[in-house]
Amino acid sequence: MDAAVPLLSLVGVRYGAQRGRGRVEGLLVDVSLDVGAGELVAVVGSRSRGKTTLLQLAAGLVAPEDGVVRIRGYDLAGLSEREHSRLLREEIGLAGQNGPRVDLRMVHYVAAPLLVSRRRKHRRQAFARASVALERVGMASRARQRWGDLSRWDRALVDVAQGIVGEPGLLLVDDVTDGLGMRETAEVTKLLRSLVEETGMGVLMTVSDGEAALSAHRVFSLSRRGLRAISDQSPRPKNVIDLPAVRGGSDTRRDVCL
Amino acid sequence: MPVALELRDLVKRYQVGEGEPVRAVDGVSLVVAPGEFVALYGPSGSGKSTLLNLIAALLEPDRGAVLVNGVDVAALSYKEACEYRLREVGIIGQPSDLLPGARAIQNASLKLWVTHARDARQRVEPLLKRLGLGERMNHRTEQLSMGERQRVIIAQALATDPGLVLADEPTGYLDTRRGREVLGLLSELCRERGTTVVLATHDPQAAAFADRVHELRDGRLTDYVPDPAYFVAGRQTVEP
Repeated sequence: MDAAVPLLSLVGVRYGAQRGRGRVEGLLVDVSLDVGAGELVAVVGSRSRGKTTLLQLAAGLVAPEDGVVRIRGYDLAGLSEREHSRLLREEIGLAGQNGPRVDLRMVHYVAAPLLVSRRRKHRRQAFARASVALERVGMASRARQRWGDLSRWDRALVDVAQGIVGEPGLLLVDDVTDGLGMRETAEVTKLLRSLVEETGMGVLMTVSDGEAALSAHRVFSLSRRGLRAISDQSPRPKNVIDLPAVRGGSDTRRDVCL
Repeated sequence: MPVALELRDLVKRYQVGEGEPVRAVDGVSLVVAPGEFVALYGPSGSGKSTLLNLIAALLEPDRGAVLVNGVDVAALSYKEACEYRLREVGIIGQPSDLLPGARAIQNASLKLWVTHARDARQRVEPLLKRLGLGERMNHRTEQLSMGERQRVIIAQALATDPGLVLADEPTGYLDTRRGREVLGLLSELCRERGTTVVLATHDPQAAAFADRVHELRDGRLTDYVPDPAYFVAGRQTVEP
């Protein structure tokens, strides 16, 4: 695989669109962004602006009405169900506000993505890998605490642990800092940044609060007007990547980097 | 009379600010027979969720005991309490508790896989079919409606065949018709299996599905006689 090919690439993606007042309006209209290896990209937006949908599109859990979503250059629309399942299992980690699974021990909660894997070897290793993930986010010593005794900050860290338990190349983080104070938010995003730097994974995180995006290499704003780049501290060269033709679109070449 | 669940003079206080502690649960006593469906009805903040969390051994009471089949679950060690929640109690959570990206059958099987059960699929498939999800078993969380997600949550809670089911506002995300359907199914399934159910709800129509309703107000339990109209309205659409 060409190193210049981004881990995740969304090109001209549209979802939940409606035609009105002479133009196309919708939840997500003409959204293009990419996430490279070793990069933390944040999308800031208020509630109900489509942040969760954006991540679901990135993981192929919902299909775009138009545009292309690629993981490591593979168009998700062209994958079989089996190939998509493999991608979800081996390449993508999902961390979000999944709600506390109060009936599970923390290690079981973190191991859940591996437990539901169809691969027996993943199930066998699940609890050991969950312990490693909890250690990585600094929650190992508190793994025996009751859910009810965990702060929102702790829960955000546990959600991140669940996202990285499969050691994914791409981590999609859905607003785990929502409701946290400034200090806690900074700690969570600092952790994500250090994970990116140590493991080389790419992270796309959505946040409700701009403060939470401060550690990101690149920051986008998602509003009614669409997705707009608002800062770029990326270590990558600011280049133009050639991409194959966009399905259903006329662009054959797009500037997907800033 | 055999007893599945007994609450003895249960008290749980929370410290809010610098004032006097708030008594979220204030001297609650209750006896529930095996297979009985009991509703705790009350407005938000009345102590319903705290009471369920005490029964689930997720909180420790300041006073009193929670006896499940004669065992005081408040006195369990951390590990014992985890095992108790894993094997003996089914907690019906919210649709948001489902694992993103996982299929309905995977989500429903989660607790069985945690316990290394070998026959997860054989146990969960009939349950999902019974809940009307036979055609949706391989759909991922994001492809399911809220009503379908709620039914997966119910399947997950019942998959381990628990003796006691705790349901905290299980129809909160559903419209009235879907809510009745879900409660009707839950009621039927538990009746067939002889499962004891404790339902916490602020909705009198949901409470009407129970054999017995108690009102919780300011942490205190009182007997409650629901309006007969709710019984009719609540059950009419799901029972032949």
